[in-house]
Amino acid sequence: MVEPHGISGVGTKKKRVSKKNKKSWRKHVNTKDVDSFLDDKRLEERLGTPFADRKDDELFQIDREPDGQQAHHFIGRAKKPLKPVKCFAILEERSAVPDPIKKRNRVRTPEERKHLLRKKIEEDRKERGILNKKQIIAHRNRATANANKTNRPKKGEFNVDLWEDTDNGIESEHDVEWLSPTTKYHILKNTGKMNKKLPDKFLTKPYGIPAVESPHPGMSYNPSYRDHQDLLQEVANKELMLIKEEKHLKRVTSKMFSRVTEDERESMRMKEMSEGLPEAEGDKTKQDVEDGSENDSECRAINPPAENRKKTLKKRRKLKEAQLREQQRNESRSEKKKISDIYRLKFLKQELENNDNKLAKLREKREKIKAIKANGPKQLSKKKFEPLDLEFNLGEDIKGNLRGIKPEGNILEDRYKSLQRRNIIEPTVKQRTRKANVKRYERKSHKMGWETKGY
Amino acid sequence: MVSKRKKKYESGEGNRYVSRKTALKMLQLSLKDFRKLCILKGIYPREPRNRKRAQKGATGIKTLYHLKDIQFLLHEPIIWKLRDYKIFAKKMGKARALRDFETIKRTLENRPHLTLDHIVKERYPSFIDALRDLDDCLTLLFMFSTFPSLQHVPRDQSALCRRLTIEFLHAVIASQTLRKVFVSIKGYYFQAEIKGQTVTWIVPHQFCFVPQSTLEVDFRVMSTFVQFYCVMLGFVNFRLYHLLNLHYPPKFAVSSADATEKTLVDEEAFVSERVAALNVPLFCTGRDTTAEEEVEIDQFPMIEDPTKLEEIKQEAEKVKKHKTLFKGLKFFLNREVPREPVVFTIRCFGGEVSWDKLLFVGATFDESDESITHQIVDRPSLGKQYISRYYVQPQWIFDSVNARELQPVEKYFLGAVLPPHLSPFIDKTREQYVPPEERALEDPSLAEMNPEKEETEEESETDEVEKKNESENEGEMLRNEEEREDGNESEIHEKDKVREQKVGIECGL
Repeated sequence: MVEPHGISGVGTKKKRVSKKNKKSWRKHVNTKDVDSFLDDKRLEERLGTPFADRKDDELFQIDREPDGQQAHHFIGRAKKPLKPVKCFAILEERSAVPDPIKKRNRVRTPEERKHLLRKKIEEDRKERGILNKKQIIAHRNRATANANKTNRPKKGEFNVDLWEDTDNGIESEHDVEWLSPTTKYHILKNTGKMNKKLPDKFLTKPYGIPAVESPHPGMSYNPSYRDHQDLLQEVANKELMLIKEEKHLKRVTSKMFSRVTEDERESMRMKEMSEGLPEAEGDKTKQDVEDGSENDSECRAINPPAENRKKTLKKRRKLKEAQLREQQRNESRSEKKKISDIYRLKFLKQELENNDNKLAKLREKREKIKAIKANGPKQLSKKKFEPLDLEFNLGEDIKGNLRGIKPEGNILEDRYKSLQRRNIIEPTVKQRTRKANVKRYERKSHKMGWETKGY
Repeated sequence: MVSKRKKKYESGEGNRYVSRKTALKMLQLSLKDFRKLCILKGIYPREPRNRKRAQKGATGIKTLYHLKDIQFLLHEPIIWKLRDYKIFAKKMGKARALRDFETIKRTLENRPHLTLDHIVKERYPSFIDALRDLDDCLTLLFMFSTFPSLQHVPRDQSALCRRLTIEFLHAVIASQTLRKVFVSIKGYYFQAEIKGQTVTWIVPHQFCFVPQSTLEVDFRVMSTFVQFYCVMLGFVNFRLYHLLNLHYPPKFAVSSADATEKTLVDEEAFVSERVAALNVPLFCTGRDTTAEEEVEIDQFPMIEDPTKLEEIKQEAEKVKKHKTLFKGLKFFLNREVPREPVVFTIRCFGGEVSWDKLLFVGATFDESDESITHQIVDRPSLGKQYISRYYVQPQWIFDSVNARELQPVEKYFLGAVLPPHLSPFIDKTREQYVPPEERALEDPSLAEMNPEKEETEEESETDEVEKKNESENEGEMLRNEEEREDGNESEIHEKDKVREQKVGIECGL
């Protein structure tokens, strides 16, 4: 006998099986192919003549309909059956023991509950086309909803001339001159053609400058020498102004305070805090002199206690007389002044003129500044308007041809700033939403035991 | 009875203004919605004469609005749309969190839509009013048409912007109303004259993507502006096209060459690409197509100034000549030339233009076409050159347009040092220094040569170095000046001047 190589190898010899009884037949013989053949045969018999014997016409159809039409016969997906409601889940059968009376647990559907006659009436009505009021309303609503959806103006579609009736004033077919204003008003109002005019206030713009300002000639991609220099000069001037301001601020703030080192400051502080305290050495000589005078009284006489000294009658009389004399003197002086003022008229006039001139100059100055500010950005919010820097190309960037152009400045930013400059929107600070640092953790009861982290 | 006691800030300035917080309370809107509403309706914050009175005694700086403006806003129907949108967002959020896809689908189908037509009509009662505001609108839309979808910028907005701006360009081409072009480092400045209104806009350079999120710009606000301006430009386009007797949305005749390409792509894309190419003349709607009505200048016999009348007549003549500047000329653009602005400029003045077929859709003729008169090249040298055509740099086109006549081609040959590209915009605020080149344009006898390129480089370099030293030197000088003039009366005048200068600079002049 040949030794078997493996479990089911090449060298293994098939073990001979006896097919003596039905049991061994059923176990060891594979009749699948026979079965499938027989099944096919039976199927063919059921369907009629076998496929091989049939003609082409019976098996295939030539499709002559264009594809487009078939698309219309799209049958929508059947509606999903509603899921069982969770609140009634408790009422379901949960035990494995079935109810002996099976019919007890089933409720008839509304359809089954209807009386036969009722069903018949409804069928009849449906056939004839008589509808319920609810159904009529539902149909109507559905129709309007569909109409709205289809007639809804699409986003990029423009098929109406908005300004059609504003061509040359109001044009109408009829002669309307002889109508009185009240008649016109009545007609327009009731035919729905009344146009409400917005007050002019809402149509005025808050700016006086053009929306797109003309650019500096030095901003050309190939500028003339002089224009480019002008532009660079302007930019340089702005930088100088900034530097000047910075220096000025520094001068009036930081430079006013002298710089002291840490040690010096410490020593100065100690000295100031220890003023008046008894010192161990050094200052003893100074204090010896003052000690004597100090020993006299504990409290120095800075603010002596008030004494009740009464004025005598004589003193009071004298005081009153002096007051009266003073008053009389003042009166006479003012009288004299009035007389002398007449001779001072010319000088008074001069004084008034000077005052007027000063005020006029001030007024002029204020009006000039007002005129400049009227066309400028207004203070609309807490944040001040910051204009953009001028865009410029340094000399080396100007290549002289369109291909070598070095673009500067962003039009979007320029437009945004221009809108702020023209008082259309107020300058705002960009709000950065801080993302919440959400901590995620798993409940202790749900731990599996293989987590690397503690949670 | 006793009359009501008069309280402070009840009348006058105190009564006229309302703070932003109060306005939000009155309208019952969130801040985002309020800002959106104000932008759409054209309600602007105000600066009062006296802040303390206007803020009812409160110090500090608050954002103030006219009370009448807020009362006007109360009647606006789109407030309900804004609130509907808030509800929609809440429903969507909840459905998404619960992963309830049915509700998501249903809510999306019934989402609220915002229509701004009545607001456009309200803000611009006549067509001319809308034209006056076109500057801002066009610049913003041209910028947004180059954007990808960003946060707060929906995906279809940039496509819509692109479509509308291209339509507007076609309208300008058809009406031949372009007057000035200026190429600056910021972008291309175009100026057109539509219905007597001057419209100026900037088109950005088409270069590599610049990340816009690093800017300080509030995208939500700009997106709202763009939404409004899209609707406005759509209506303006519609009316312009109808005034020019063109079909809106634009249609064109399909040539035989394109017929094969038509089958490759779907119809909408085909149309939009060719329209974007700016190269096809659009379909007119029947009626009078050929001759444009020539507006004749009426003769006013009793006008005081006969010279002025003559000037106006001459101006009109010049403009008429200007419109046909490139008529009969055929241009071919090389690959490195920026296609859109150049094509637009050439076509506005009656020229025919084409480009390399592989570059963009819509090329009408090839490089090897014999009837090409000019080829626009931006390289220092070109390999194969045809004798029958001029090879010029793109600045020739822009300078010719600005000068209103064809410039001598020799100055713009390949490799030549170009004359400076001057700005055609006359700025009244700037000093009227006329550079020698511009003077030369008026009077050719005064023509001077631009200093050589090396010289300009040297001078500009030294200038830079000087600029850096200047700041220090000037700073010192100024400080010395300050110390010297302390106590001088002229100091007051200087301070005034400085203050005026500062105010002027703040205003961005």
